[in-house]
Amino acid sequence: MGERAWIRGAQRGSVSDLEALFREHWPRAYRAAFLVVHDAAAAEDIAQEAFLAAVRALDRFDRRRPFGPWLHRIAVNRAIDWARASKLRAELQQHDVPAPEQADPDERMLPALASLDPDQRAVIVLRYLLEYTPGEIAELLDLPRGTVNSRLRRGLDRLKERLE
Amino acid sequence: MKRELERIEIPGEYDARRRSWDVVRAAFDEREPVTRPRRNVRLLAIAAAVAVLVAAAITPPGRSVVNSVRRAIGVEHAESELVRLPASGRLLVDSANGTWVVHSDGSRRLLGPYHDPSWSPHGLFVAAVRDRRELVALDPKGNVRWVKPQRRLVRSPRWSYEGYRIAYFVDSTLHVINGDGTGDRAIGPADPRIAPVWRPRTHVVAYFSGGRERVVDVDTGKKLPGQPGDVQRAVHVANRGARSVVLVNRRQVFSGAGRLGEPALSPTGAWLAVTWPSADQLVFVRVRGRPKLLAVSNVAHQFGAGANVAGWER
Repeated sequence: MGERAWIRGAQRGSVSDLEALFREHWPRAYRAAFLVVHDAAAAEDIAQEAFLAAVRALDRFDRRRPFGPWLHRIAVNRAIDWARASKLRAELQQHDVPAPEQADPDERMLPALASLDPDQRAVIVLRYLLEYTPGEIAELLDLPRGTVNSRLRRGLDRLKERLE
Repeated sequence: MKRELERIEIPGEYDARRRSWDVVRAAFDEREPVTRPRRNVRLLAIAAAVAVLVAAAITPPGRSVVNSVRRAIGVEHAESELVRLPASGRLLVDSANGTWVVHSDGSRRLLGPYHDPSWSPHGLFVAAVRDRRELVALDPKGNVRWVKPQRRLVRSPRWSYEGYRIAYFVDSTLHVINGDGTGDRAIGPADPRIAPVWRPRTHVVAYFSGGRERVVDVDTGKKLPGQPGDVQRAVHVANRGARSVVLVNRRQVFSGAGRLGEPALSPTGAWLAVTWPSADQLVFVRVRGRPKLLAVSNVAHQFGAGANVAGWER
């Protein structure tokens, strides 16, 4: 049973179809939000709000359009807003935390990501976690494609520096 | 890279997922199914969009936005849900359900059964009308700061530039009250169909009375001669037969079939928001820099009937 059928079922009131959509998409929306904001509670709120927006708009959702990009657009844009606001409030102090020496590669990735600007984190997450093309990212974030490419390039360069 | 991003452990993920599902499930159980738009409403919206394209194509200023219109206006390309504002700030929306505050991330709060709202200059307070006969000042979270009851109909509260005065109508009389709810006084007879307008950086207010424009310094009571633009705002809607056009400093930036709501500029002045009732849309027009047009549909469902943008503040 595919995504369109789940959406159709959910539109008709099927809880199991809504749950199937949730199982399919919530983990990635949550992970994407977390990797942008670096705060589990905020990521939970963001992913939840994105799904609530989906529930509110369910009856009007065009089944011909894929559900994932629509949800990810809400989640990642809100995550960027949150991260920017958090940065302004100086609550996110992880930028200058050095990666621990001899750390497991998995443990080094998170602080390395934290060293990026929220906008760079978002394009990295969209490109490499959610596997959108630069053109699709440009559309999701309402950015020129060149800006997406330069953010990706700068973000990757910075990650490489931090991970080496 | 993908593998590494997927392997990062997020503390409490399982619990977060369980909690979120409970909330989403509860929202799903409580939702009210929405009927699909009737065909004639869809046709009306499509016809309205076509009218905009034709109108835009034949005027030079409109031609500059016509490509954006072609992309964004219409049932197919309008967003079905307002998920974020195109610029920073908070939008104030008036509807049959009451007054809403919409934040830049698209989250919104219904302040309550208030109408005809307006932002204070820094967006710290909202002045609005409750039960048709009360002037109310409240904060953006909905906490009422003060109430000024009147015996007759209250309308159109508008803050002065620094928030120290509010001009408003009681029936057919212009009143002014201090921003803290004290010192209410009647200024004189007025036409309540046209909202009062403060002259920038003064306590001078312009209004209509007896078919003529009147201008008065509300602190001294001195009547003053009118100046161009006293009553006509820089951003306003003009009716052109069966259409309405939005003008920014006399430049046409948008045109729609039927009637448009009152427009509001974003805090930076780069974007404009206006409701388009016949298309059931909220339209955002970029008026500075490269023209761009965005639209959100299902406005009545999201805010209530008769939704109108009442302000866009920081």
